[in-house]
Amino acid sequence: MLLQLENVTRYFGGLAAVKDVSFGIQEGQILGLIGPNGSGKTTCFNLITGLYHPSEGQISFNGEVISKMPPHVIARKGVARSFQISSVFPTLAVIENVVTAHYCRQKSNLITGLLGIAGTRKEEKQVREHSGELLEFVGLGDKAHAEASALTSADQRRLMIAIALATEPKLLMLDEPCAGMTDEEQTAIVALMRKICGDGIPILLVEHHMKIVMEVSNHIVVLDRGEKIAEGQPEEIKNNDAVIEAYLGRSEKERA
Amino acid sequence: MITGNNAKKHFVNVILIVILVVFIFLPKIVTVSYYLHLIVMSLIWFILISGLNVIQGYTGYVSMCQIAFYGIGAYTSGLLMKNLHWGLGQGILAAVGMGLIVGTIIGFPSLRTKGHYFSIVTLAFTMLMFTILRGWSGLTGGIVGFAVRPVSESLFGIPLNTRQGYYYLVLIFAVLTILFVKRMTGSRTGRAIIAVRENENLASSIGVNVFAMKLLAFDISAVLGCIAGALYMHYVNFVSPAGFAAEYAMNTLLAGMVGGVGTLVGPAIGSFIVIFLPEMLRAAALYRQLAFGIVLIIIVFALPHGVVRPLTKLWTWALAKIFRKNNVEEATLASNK
Ligand SMILES: Nc1ncnc2c1ncn2[C@@H]1O[C@H](COP(=O)(O)OP(=O)(O)OP(=O)(O)O)[C@@H](O)[C@H]1O
Ligand SMILES: [Mg+2]
Repeated sequence: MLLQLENVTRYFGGLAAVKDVSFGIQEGQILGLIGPNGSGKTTCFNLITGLYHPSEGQISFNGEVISKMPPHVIARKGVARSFQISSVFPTLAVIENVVTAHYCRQKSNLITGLLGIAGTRKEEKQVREHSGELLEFVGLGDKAHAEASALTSADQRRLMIAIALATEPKLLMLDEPCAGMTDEEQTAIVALMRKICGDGIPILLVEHHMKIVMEVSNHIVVLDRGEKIAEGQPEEIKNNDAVIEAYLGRSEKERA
Repeated sequence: MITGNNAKKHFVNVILIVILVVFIFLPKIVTVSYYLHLIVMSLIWFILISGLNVIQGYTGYVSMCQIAFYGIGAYTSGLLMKNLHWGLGQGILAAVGMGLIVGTIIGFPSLRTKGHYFSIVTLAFTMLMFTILRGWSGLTGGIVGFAVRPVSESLFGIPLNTRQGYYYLVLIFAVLTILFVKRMTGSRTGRAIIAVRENENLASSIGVNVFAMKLLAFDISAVLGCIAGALYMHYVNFVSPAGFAAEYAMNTLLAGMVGGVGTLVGPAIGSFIVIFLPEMLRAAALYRQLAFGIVLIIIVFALPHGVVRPLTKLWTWALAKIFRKNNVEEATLASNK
């Protein structure tokens, strides 16, 4: 397993937002993490990325326990994420957002940066080129010089993916990457996720659009009120009574 | 496109060189010694406010203790000269060291707070510093302060105890400051600092140690503040606590806001305004402070991002005209840095 949660619990006050949850993700996988609103999906993301620490249980990445590490250390180990609420560097140009995100893998420091030595200049040039490529990859090539806050929310979600990829992750976690997108935009994101996974970066996906999750995931974990109620192939999940009761049935009704 | 950009770059460089040449010959142009004095003070304040700019403009933490660092730098090099007969260079180096030490000691607890709390904690530090400078009279000379002998060093053969000579010393430090800030903000580390201002959670998710970057930025602001203080000390050869009271923290804040923080030249414009404006308002006699306040309030209200914002727009427009470049957006973003 690349990432493994073992009996992870997190309390907020008296409430267990995540309760005794275990699951793992392997190389080559797109793992869908689904569940009704408030079931603890985003909290799982925050626990994995070190924004919160588990009250009980542990999380390991690449065989190393990461559940007590701060977010920047976990990021450097190769865990990248997008946020549920659009989260970019708002007053910077789109391209600068991606350039900045290369921080994770750059070698230069304040001194070499100040002196502008040859190695640093070369690195800067590579970073700018690579940033341009990433923007093309997520479909923002023509908006490189716009201010990030001026982008539509769909474009900001694309930018978040480019930012995450700029850190050269070993695992990509996407929190509702298709929220607020049109059907065509969603299709583009699905294609993008397939490409990323094909390039060897497994994806942990939180998404409310069931069609997308079922289509793109090869494994699904279902949460309800902080607890894991089911896990399996998309086909199994679709026909799981507990899941239909807690989520699928309800949301189908809601949508109707 | 590429050649157009190159031509633009050359043009900008030429303008920068012209400005530098003007500053080099300024003592020949400005024959009224008092104005040269104000220019020296403005340049010293530019260094001070550039320090504030790093923590406030680029990191997003409004610091109210830049004036305290100014005082610490002044007292550090002043006391070393008075008591241990240290020279100017050693005094400035000591001020740098002191800036690092005090910046770290104050930054460690205060940077754990956010928003207004950080401002209040740093304001409290300024008040504490003032009390120490005034109260520890055995060392600091208390409320009356102390004088030091004029510096004996010279620069390019011009003695530094003359106004002209000192002007060149301060000019060199000002140029080094602007180069430092420019290089720093364009580097990987500078981008991490700006990332903290923009979005702390996102910054940490791309591997930025948010607290370390805040501390680094605060230390840089402290060091620049202390250098400015040491330069001030050996310019006027006298120091007393009065100039470092909490009310002057407002002046540093104003210089930043009026000029525009988060930009390279904003602090320069703000410093010149804050130093020159009270002099131009001399005619208002008794009401000078009032007039000063009103003018600043008007500027801050009319231009919430500082004087530099419309100037940048004008500059971008002019460049676009000259080079017939349609991509104004790109130029705006480039010159915002
Ligand atoms: N920092 C926090 N402090 C207190 N409670 C929290 C905190 N973060 C999350 N919670 C609570 O934990 C529960 C799970 O929230 P979470 O955001 O993980 O749900 P989610 O599955 O992502 O929901 P959604 O589909 O709406 O995004 C909610 O009841 C929420 O109120
Ligand atoms: Mg959520």
